[in-house]
Amino acid sequence: MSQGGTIMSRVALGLAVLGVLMMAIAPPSVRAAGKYDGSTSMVCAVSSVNECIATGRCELRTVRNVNFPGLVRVDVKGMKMSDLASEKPRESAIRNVDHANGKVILSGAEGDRGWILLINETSGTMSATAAGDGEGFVLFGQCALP
Amino acid sequence: MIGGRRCAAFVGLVSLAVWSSPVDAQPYYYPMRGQSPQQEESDKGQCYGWAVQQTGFDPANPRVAMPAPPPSSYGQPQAPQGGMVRGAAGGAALGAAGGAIGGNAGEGAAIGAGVGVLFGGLRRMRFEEQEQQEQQMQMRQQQAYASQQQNALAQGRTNYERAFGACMSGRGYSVH
Repeated sequence: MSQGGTIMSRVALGLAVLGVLMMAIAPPSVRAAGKYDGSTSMVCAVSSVNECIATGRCELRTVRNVNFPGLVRVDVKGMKMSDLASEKPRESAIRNVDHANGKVILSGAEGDRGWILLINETSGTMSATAAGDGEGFVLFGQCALP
Repeated sequence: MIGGRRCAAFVGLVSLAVWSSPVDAQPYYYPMRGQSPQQEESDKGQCYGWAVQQTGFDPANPRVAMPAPPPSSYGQPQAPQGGMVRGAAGGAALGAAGGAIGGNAGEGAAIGAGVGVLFGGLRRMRFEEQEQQEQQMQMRQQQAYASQQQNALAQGRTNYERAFGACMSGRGYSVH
């Protein structure tokens, strides 16, 4: 019995070591999987903005043009997004949080606009849209963990 | 500069409409009671004053009461759409990820005065085609205004001539 128990212990230890080794040698993307899932707050930078109108035409803008902050803190647990670039706080309440296919999807509404922000839980890439009456904004960016 | 030129063009258009308004053939007045030419001139002067008083239209100074002309504001800066928006947003770098971001974080402090939301504060820009549409609409409005003014002037002149003719007829002239 004791010999069998020893064998079992050795097998368990071997499996544990193998697991740690696998984690250690795994590519960073695998190791980082899910770190942008909203479990901690993120800082997201907007790198491009497109404005579209109902005729189908879209034009590239800058955050400065469209009065959107370049840096946004996304606090999924706190259900809010906030402007990091302004002393006067600008916030958006997150009304819904979904997780689908490795993406965290946030949505909300402000005034006469609705918005959706999607973050790749693995890479942190961000895409967002804000839609109004006959208008739409599409934003792209990158999130990081501060 | 452009607005001034367009405004001048609009004034010219209106002036053209005013002065090119159709002036019907002048009526003739025959003194049926043998009035002298001096008497005829006197009667015409009095009928002129009476007709102007009655119709509010003075052929020597043709004007009609019209609302203010439509503004020719294109070519000038427009207020941003969406009343919530004030200034411009700034950005900053977020390591390598945010390298492409323009602006700076300090300027962000100036924006958002009174603006408490992110997406609701997005400001719409003007598309070229929207500007063209607005210019065309303003041109149409100005043309419609000029046309209305021309019609009003023609109507005023017609009314004046009717009143003048009635006056002259009453003073013993046949009007043709």
